[in-house]
Amino acid sequence: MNRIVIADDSATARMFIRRCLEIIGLGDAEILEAENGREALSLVKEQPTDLLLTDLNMPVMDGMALLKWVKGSPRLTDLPVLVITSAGNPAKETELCNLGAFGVLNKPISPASLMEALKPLLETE
Amino acid sequence: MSEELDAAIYGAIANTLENMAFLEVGRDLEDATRYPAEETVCCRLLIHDPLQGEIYLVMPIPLMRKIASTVYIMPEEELSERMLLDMLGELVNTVAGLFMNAYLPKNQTYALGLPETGVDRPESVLSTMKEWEFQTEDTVFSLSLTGDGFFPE
Repeated sequence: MNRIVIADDSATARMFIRRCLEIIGLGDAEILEAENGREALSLVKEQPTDLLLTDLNMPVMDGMALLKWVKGSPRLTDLPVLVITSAGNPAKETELCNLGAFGVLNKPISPASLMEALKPLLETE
Repeated sequence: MSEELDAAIYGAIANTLENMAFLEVGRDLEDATRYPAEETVCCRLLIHDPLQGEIYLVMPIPLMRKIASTVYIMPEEELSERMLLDMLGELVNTVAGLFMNAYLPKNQTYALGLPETGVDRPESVLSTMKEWEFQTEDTVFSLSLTGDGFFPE
């Protein structure tokens, strides 16, 4: 995995996710951070990206809108999107997966839960 | 109902601090230190749907420094105020999500606002409010919940 984008309005959350990525062996990838969906969209449009990790509840553009933009764009539609949120539950997870997210992780995350969520993606590498 | 609420609140805060900062949360406050209001910081998060309310987390600044130092793996003196407030916001955000998942029926979706830090301590004149006190690292902190829907008569 060469390029990963993290979208979360909390610097603490972004740092936490970054650390989990490093612990599970993805620290060699270029990890970019965005404070909202709009910034994240700009980053993933800029260069080919292998993974987008996004929060749901963000100002400017939330994670749901970001997911719809990504999946609605022919150029970005194959980009794997993992939603990391404090507002997740089975109904929300189904809704997000129907929109094209490949997984939903509830906060607080851990390296183990992130590893488990990314397993299908890492196995195909 | 009140016991369910208590359990959901305690579970949410205990899980959050254990997972994010490896801290154990207790309810025995006997030997724990209490800080005056002016040495605390407060963060509020609105609950929009399906019930309307607010969650407040009030933490002493020295405890926030300790938690942030663990999470950021940085010496306390290098932590900026912005980092502390952001950390507090992320804590209340995570607590709110865990609380709503535990309290609401399994498939019930819900909507939360964004954390607001640096707000005044909870003082609800609009609806019922309950405050819980906990301790971690021998320091007392509190969590409050407002919203009539959470306190049916």
